[in-house]
Amino acid sequence: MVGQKGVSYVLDRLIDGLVALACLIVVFDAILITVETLIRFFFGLASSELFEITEFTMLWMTFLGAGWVMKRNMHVRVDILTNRLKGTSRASLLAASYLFASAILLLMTYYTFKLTFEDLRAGITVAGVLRPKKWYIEAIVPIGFFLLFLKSLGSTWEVFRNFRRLA
Amino acid sequence: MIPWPYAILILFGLLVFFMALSTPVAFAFMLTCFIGSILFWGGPDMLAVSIYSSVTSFVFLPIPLFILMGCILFESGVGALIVDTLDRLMGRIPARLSVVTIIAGALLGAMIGISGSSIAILGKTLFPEMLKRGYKNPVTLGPVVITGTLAIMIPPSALAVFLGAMGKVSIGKLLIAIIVPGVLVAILSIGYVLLRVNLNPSLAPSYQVRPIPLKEKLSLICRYLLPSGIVIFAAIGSIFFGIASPSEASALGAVACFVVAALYRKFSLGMVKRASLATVEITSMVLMIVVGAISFSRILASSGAMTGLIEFAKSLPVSPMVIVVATQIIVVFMGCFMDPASIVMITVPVFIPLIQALGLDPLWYSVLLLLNIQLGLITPPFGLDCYTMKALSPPEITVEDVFRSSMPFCALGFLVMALMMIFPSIATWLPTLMRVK
Repeated sequence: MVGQKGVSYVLDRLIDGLVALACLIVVFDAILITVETLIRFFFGLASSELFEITEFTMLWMTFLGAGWVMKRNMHVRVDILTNRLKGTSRASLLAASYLFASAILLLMTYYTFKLTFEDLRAGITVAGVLRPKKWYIEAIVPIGFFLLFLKSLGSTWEVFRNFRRLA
Repeated sequence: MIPWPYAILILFGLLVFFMALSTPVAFAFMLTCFIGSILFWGGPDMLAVSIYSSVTSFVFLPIPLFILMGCILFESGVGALIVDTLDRLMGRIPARLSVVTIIAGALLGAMIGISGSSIAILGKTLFPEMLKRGYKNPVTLGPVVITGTLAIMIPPSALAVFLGAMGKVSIGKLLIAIIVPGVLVAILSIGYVLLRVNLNPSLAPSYQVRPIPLKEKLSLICRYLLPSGIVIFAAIGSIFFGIASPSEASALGAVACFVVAALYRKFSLGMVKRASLATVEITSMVLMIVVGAISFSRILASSGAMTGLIEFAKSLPVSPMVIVVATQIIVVFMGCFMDPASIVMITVPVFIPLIQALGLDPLWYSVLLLLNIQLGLITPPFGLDCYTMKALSPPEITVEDVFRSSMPFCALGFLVMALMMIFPSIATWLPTLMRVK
């Protein structure tokens, strides 16, 4: 139990750190694009590099914040059926929902990790001006999915542990 | 090869099944895509590639930045300051506070890209004042709730960016096209309030307003309303005059909000932290849905379902307008159960290509769709804007009260939709004046 709490604590702190990074990215994007727009407007100098960077940050922002959204239980659900059910049926439905979510998150962790690893081995670069290694950009996807999987697994465990109370 | 009707049945059936189980919408899309990728792509490896490429795009940048604008105005208290100024500027008119609420909603709508922020600002400022003055529910709850629709129908609008990005409709033109319908909703809402109060003056008891000298009025306008003009020009004017693309305009708007907050001495690191965190929460939640939804639309396209459906619709012996109305009825139905982002993700990849194939203007249709989807937020049983309003109301006001008061305003929204169907130029006229960027 102590081990489980320890893992949960470390996971939550990691998620907090990643969301802080996502917050910095939002403000950074706003300032970066504003500066680029003003320079282009007043001096006629355009920068494709900045556009590419902001495109990459969109992916990073999404997956850096995904664990936080899961932690806050903010992912949008359609509760029409679960709200109408009671007792064992409701608890079973919730358990199935968490199991499905955990399963897909584990599968996506595997397949996105596989893609990232293959791109790392092949040394593929992103087409464009900056041409960074593709895996630098992709790496956040399996990391994000893995954190989501761990949080989802925790929630699944809670649902099964409290099944009787929920029912 | 699976015949297209079965492909549609399988893909949408799986999506509905997983959503009905209460699986988060983002993961319901991914589960469906996973099975769909095995059936139509020969394996999930392509799905991983699709996920990577889905949100790595400049067109999605206005979403977090338009949301950031709203969060800055809300967290810094600048939004409340603007509402207070408008309240002081308005003279003695019937249902004064209700009218001020709608006008303030329209003004905030020109600076805020999400519906919840407007409702929260007005629900915390003017709504308690209306209750204190003895205003009745029909002219208090409804006007605040409709400001959520105005926030989306007057640019900047995060939902319009979504819709444009998903439907491959010019985001700049869409943001400008929604202005006239949005303003029309505001005007009709004010008209409705004035009519109700005229018929039943007890709904909004009149009270003495301290007259403000012209000099003070001008001073208030210069000090509190003109700076908000900087934000409006940065976010909308820059697109209209071809100075910036929607992504650039969103960044200019966000930085302008920081500048305005600093001008009012409301800028602090704590405010930036709270605003950026709220932005990341909403953005990440929605873009996770986008990640699944884009792959879903790609699978739908490669399954042959879209081509089959379009050919089928074109062969129907009915006017294209009948199909437009049918698709809108589906959206009204979905609006009763689902959130706007999910509706956009599910319907846009199917409806926009269909409308284009029927020879109709996708820009006009997108405006129609956007208003319809937004009205879903004030229709029972799951109208999120009404629940936000309930959360800001005293305990004696029930959810039913909020829905009942919002219904006439919802009907006005549908009236604007009908007008747009009869007179498409309501939506298409303003974009023709733009300097295209």
